[in-house]
Amino acid sequence: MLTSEHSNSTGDLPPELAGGTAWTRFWFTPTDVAGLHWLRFLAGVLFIYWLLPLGGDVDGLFGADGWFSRDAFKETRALRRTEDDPGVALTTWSVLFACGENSTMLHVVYWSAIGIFGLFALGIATRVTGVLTWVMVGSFLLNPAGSFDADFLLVIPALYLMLGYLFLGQWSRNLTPLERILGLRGTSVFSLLSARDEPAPPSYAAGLAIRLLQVHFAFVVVTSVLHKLQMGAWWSGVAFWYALSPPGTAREVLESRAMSDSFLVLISFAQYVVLAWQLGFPLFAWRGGLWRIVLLGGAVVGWIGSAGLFGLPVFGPLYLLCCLSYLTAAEWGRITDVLSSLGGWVQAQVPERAAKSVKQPASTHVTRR
Amino acid sequence: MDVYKMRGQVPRPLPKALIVGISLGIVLHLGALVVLVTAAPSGPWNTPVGPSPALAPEFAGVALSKLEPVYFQPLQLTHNYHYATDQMENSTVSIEVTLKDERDKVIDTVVFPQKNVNRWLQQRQRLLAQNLGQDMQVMRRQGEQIAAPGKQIKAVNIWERGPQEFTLKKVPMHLVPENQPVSRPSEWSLIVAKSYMRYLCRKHGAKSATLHRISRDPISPVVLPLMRNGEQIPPVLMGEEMKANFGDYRVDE
Repeated sequence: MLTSEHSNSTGDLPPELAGGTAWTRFWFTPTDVAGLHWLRFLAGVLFIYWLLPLGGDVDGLFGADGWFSRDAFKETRALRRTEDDPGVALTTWSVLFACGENSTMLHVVYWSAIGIFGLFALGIATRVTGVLTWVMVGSFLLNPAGSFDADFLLVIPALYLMLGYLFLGQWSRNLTPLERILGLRGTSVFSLLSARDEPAPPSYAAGLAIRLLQVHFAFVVVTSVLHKLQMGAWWSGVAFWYALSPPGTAREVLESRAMSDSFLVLISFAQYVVLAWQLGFPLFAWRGGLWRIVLLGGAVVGWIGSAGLFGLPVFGPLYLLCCLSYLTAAEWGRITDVLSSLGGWVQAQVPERAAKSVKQPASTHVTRR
Repeated sequence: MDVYKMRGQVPRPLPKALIVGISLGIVLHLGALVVLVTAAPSGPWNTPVGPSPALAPEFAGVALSKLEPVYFQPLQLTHNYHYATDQMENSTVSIEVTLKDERDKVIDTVVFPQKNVNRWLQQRQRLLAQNLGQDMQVMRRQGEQIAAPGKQIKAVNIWERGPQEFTLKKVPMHLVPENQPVSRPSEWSLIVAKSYMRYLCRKHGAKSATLHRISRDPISPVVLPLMRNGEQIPPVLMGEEMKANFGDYRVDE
């Protein structure tokens, strides 16, 4: 396990954990809630970024009479455990099932989901919107013919953030009955930025939720690389070749001269760097210092690569979000300070500009007259 | 923590029993995740009958069948993190659906993925098309087959090469051609194709639809150096476009 230096702890441990094992220190150290709030804000934005662009074909993608109809569901279930089992995830529950063939109802649920993600991101009634966010993310995974791997990974932050907010402050803070049901006040990122001098007390729930997200994500990364290593194309360094090769016949590709030998050397090396990053992920994800560049730099490069080369819009930001969950409370504090001072600078600029703009019409008016 | 101590904000200690209970929950949860990923088929590996995926270990398969309905499905944690995108050697697939009215007059042609939609939707359309690209090899049953009383011999839809496109032909298992590779669309592909044609007929008010799959196998990097040296390359490796007709869907059937 990890030392407290690299954990999310804010320093010393509570008395009941001071003599505890690495296990209890890892999972049960109360942590600053700023990290949880930032992750919630970013996750809410990510969920909107995931779902909003699909608004152009809500009926086709999610409707009971859409691309993948309810009849197709039944037929696919019948293939289970047969030679033709496609191995796709068939969801057993979804709010959208209740919409039936009613398109209006489907659109209402779709826009409600966008609204819920927005409220959750803003930190409004987070206990309720946290649960609803998880329900909505899970509900929109229902089309096995049009769902993508990253869709299913979105459930991971949604689930742990929901748990974090359900229990945040319930044990160690004196809350009003309303706060116990709806959630704590002052959890928005704007509150974080404006109240840096008075941070909220540390929380067991925040620490536990972030730890679960970290461990689960490390698990995902390692499983994914082990899967890649079952395929010859990844061992021989030509996996990226297939994605980057221009469309056309072998002769057309040869004549385009896009895939030169030196290019193959470059992409095979890049591919091995990707494999190394994924294989080594659990070794550097919890480390501070320069390893942060490897962690976050890798996630950013992965985003650019997956979106630019493979046309996968959600994979990159999701990986970056999960990588950000490894930042310590101190690191989140520094980020918040920087953003807070940036916000202060912007605020200072606004009155100056406002004052100028107030003077401007008066002078114009005078000149015209 | 010192700052919080000074402010009197140190959280109330957790009772030992709660720590033990939550720890147990964490261990069970992580253990379930291990089952989820180990129960995924692996490969494809080389076998005496060609490349084939290997089944999951028995312990994981059994554990998953118990856990899936009561744990993973309610939590929507059903993905085993074996990404489809890791399999880079998949064919590129697009689909073309011709929609007709009651007099069999073509009223519209829809091509997927569409170019005039945003990247998010385009990706979903690509995924849908990709689902139709999963052909399977047909293994001819050895020996003569005799149908059970009152039953017919099992038939299979195979791809038959025509002058311009591949078409589906239903043949009894014992009549599957020998001494040549025979493939068929997976049942899943047929379900997706039918469902999509049904959707388009409803959307465009058409009475029937015909779906064509246009696919191209990826070009292996070993082909290009061979071509530069002027060596003869088998046509199957040249990345020629293949058109396959998934048949008609009629609304009134």
